[in-house]
Amino acid sequence: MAKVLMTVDGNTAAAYAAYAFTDVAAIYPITPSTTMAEVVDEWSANGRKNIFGQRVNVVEMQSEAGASGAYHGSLQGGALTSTFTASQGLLLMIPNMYKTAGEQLPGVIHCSARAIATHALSIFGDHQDVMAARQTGYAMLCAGSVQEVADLAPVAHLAAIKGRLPFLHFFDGFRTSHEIQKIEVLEYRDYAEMLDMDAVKRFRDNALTPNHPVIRGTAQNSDIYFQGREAANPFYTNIIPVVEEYLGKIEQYTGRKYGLFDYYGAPDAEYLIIAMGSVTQTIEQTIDYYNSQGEKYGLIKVHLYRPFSTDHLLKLVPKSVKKIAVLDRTKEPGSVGEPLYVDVCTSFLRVPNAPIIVGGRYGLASKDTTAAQIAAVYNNLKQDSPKNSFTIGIIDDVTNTSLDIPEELDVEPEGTKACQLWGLGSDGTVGANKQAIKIIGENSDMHVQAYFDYDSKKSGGITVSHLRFGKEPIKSTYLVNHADYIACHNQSYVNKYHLLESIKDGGTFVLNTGWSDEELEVNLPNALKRRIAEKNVKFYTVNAIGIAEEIGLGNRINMVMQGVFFKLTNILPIDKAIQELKEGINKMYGKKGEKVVNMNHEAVDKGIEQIHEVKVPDSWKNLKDEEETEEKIKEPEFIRKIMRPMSELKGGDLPVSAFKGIEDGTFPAGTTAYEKRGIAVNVPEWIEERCIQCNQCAYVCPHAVIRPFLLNDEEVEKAPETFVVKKAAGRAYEGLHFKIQISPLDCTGCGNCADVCPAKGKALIMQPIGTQLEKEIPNWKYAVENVSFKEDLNYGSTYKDTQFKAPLLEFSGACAGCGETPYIRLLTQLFGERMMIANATGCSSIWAASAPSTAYTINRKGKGPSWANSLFEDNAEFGYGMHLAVKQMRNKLEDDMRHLIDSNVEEKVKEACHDWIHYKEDGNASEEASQKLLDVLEDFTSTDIELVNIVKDIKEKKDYLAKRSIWLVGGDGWAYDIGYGGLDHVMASGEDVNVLVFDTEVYSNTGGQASKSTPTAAIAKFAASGKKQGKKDLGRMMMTYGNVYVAQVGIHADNTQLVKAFREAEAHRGPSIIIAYSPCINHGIKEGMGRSMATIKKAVQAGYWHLYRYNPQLKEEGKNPFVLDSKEPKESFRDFILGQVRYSSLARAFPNEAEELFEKAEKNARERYENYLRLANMQ
Amino acid sequence: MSVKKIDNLQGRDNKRLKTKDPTNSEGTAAWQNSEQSYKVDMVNKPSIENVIDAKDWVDNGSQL
Repeated sequence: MAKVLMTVDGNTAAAYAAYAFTDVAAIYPITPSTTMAEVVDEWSANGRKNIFGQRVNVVEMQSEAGASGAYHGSLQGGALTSTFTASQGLLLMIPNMYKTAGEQLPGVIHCSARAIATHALSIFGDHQDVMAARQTGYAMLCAGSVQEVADLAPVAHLAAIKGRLPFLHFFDGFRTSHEIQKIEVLEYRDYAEMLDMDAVKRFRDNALTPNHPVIRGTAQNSDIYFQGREAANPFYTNIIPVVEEYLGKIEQYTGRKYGLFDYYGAPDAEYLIIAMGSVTQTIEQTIDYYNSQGEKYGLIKVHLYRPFSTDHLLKLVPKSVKKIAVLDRTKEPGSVGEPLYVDVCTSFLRVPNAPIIVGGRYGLASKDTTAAQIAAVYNNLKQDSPKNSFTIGIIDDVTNTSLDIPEELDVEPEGTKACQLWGLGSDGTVGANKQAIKIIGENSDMHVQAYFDYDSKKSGGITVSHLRFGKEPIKSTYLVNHADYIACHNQSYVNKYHLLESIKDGGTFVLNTGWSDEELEVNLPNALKRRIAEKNVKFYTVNAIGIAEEIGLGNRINMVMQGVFFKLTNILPIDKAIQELKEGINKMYGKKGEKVVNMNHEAVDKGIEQIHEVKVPDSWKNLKDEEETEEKIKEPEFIRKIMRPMSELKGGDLPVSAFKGIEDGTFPAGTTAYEKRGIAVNVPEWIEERCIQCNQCAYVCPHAVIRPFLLNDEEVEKAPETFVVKKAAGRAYEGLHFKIQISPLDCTGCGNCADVCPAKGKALIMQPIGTQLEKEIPNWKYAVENVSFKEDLNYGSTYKDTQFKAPLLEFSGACAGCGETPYIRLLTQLFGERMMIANATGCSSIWAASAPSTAYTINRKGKGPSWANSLFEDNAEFGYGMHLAVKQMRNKLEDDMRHLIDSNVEEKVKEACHDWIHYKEDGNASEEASQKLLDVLEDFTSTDIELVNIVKDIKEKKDYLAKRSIWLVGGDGWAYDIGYGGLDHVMASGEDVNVLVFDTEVYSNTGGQASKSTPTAAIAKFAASGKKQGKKDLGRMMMTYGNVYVAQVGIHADNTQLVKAFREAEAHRGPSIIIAYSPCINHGIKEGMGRSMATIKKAVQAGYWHLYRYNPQLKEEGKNPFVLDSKEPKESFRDFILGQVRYSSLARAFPNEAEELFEKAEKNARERYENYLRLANMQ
Repeated sequence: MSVKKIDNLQGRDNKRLKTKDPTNSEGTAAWQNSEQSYKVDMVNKPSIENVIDAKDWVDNGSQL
């Protein structure tokens, strides 16, 4: 039997095994499981065969519920079927899990176990999802490392087939799913040898067929249902020896031994931990450390969790064990203990003189679980009365569950090198590190580990790569906390992050910087300098950006830093390392030509040559932290105590009490204003003499960092000297001064504002940020703090006029040039004070509210959009529910007012009530009427208690008086696919809710999977050779209801149409839906994201996107409700799509299909246009 | 600490409103790599390779 070595992550290892045994995979993407489905799809597209000699058929469904239905159907149809999921996705599969287990079908679900959304969503790993599924009847098999995934995944398939029970094979999301290790796998022919082909035949013979038809899925009553359930019991007993048989086969083929449970540690252990998942690796490391010092610690690792074999567990427990701690990576609020703990306690129920058993929780949402925490668990066991229901890894100062954790231990084996590399998303650091791991793994007998830790910015977020290399297997399933080498690839990080927290004594630190030694002395924070000196750090700098620019690579620093890495870590002989790096470069860049290859070779060489060692002065040891020389600002409590620590990646230190009062997950609005990240390289400079005051710059700005201000004379007088203004244009603004002001540290530098500026010679020119900070930072501060919004002006209704109102979405985490944010930013300027937003999970929920950054904010009156995210599939229903609540409250208000009208009250009261009722459904008018009513009721008195109570009720519900503007917001993944059913139902309701769809034509947030909005010929995941089907016309489908307002819009393509559509939608007393074309980095716009707005315009001009409004109100006026706003397309459709990599790469990758698909795409677009024309011309 | 409605922040008392030091410069991001700038407004135009790298990051790197 041959063994194959590969350096892969847990997801890929699972997919490798799954592919072998799978005929059909029905999937839906969800982090962190998506990679499994993607690699299976990629292998299939590239022709890989499973053990039956066929390519796997991968189908992407509309949701996990759909995927599980297709998975069930496929199994009943006789195909061996698998799926891959996590978290809410697994929960959506639960009904079909019961079905497939009840019908004894050999499906396998591979789950990268992830936290469930409760008070917050988390993409990170724990066992909440799999524990929610433990009653379904699935056998559950847990892998604790990447190697275990590779070994146990095939067991899941083999045992499912032979034992006729479906399997849930799970491993920790991120910690295992995304950890890269060098592992051994078997060849597919070995799997084929192990497979019970008779069992396969029995399965296929049992499939539904008209040739010998049967009936499955009957309805049963209380007479037989129970017996039917119990009839399956023998299958659960029998699966145990089946699993053992296949574990034995894996041992035979690989030499690695596994049991249903495995023991590790002292054979005469006194203190035992029982756990499953990646933490077992850390426990093993901790046991080795302590047992070598005389302790008697042991561990039982759980692999087969269901069925739970008490016999097998008890056989492994040494008689010497006095106390047991069971660790659960889940939480079951209100229970006597978490699931594994309850299973273990039950196992010992009839054991005489059973050990004391306690349970604890750890690692929720991938909270790092380290050796020190495990030590604390053993220490707890040694107490006379060990704490039960404890927690580790957090400080619980509310219910005091947490154990005290000793100082962090270094339990890693001698000779293991640990490295941390701080980079920026898309700067090449992560890719380079993955390459480094491969090089070291393949060119040495060392074990390797790579794990990547990111923040939540989709692009441009911080990345920290944790790499380990060693002679011994690497069992450190936690972030590097004793680093031999730390590199920082982004100079600006020194101002914020505690870069050297993990550095070992005598470790190496490299900073990518253009600073000289003298400049380092001035610019490095004292805390960093002190740390360097205290820890005797070998400190190096390299001007990687300078080197890259000199060579002609621009800002591509990754190869420079790779050379530095290999030189300073000395993991491989440097000549060997250079040779491998250069061979890697040849492979990676070969297609781009010799020049590019040579430049990258040179980058490696120069990186090595130009490393500069900084002589660390002794004086750095005594430096104190800088004092605040300017006035001390006491920031709001939330910012000080929660936001700042979280932003500096110190949120893990926050105790539970920090969240007292916000246990329900509530966060305040408007925290992004406190970030001031300084992302941009260049920012716009306003040339006031050229400005025509059109406000288009502000209109398109994705981040609300450039805004027009109107100032009176007094405000101009008090402004800083550099605060240049000009006379405001327009009669409504006579006597005022106008300024375009930018916030340079909030700007992303995309350049859209400058690009769209129509002024001759341009009134906005991008300049290096360093040239703008000195004057524009105080100018911005003055503008936002001192310039008022002029309420009394007669603002027009054009798009220009909308921009004078402060946006209530600002500084979001969206990518530079994002096509989604400008739309909703504009909406907040129109209706923000009355808005409630229900936001589907997706990019728009991530850029809006990745804690602690909340981008929706409030105006000076303290009003602004309320915002909430429920789930992905239920967003329409969620927002609809908000509407129902508000409607019910307002109906009660109306009832109260009608009662007052019919009672003996003052005429002014009756009049105010009449007015409120009359204007109830009119947004702006209801605000006025509400205020009038409250003024009138302020001093209301009466001898009639009933009337007094009614007025009291009205005042208590005053929050509901002004009409709310309710918006259900999300991407096309939600609206076209997973949420479509709910959206359709809500649109059918006839209720007054508004929908805004950010149509990026792909699942942007989860990495570019195709949606039903993806047009023909676009390449996306699960449409790797170009999407064959056309784009769903969601707008036309909604028009068929007749009473739904529908619009398709494109900002900058027609700014006036956009404002009209928003206003008409909001005013429409019924459902409205607006579909907005949203360019995305995923599209690969060749002109750059600085032209994302221009792309929208081009899309319309080329007939790729169309602008229209369908207004049911017009029908009542006897008019055609459909208005086609975009003109006859005149520009080249083909040129437009070839300007985007998502289309142009089809021509390279699949030249034969490309032409046909491009033609089909153009035909589809043409047909759509003609349909719209027909609608527009109907009488 | 409880987050009451009045605690909503409005950007007041913001230490970083006066600061000039960037903390998260994206100078090395793929989309920022300038092959050239558009004339007049000097908006960045990345090379096609960098457009592909930036796309690759959001499709395969960034894990959200």
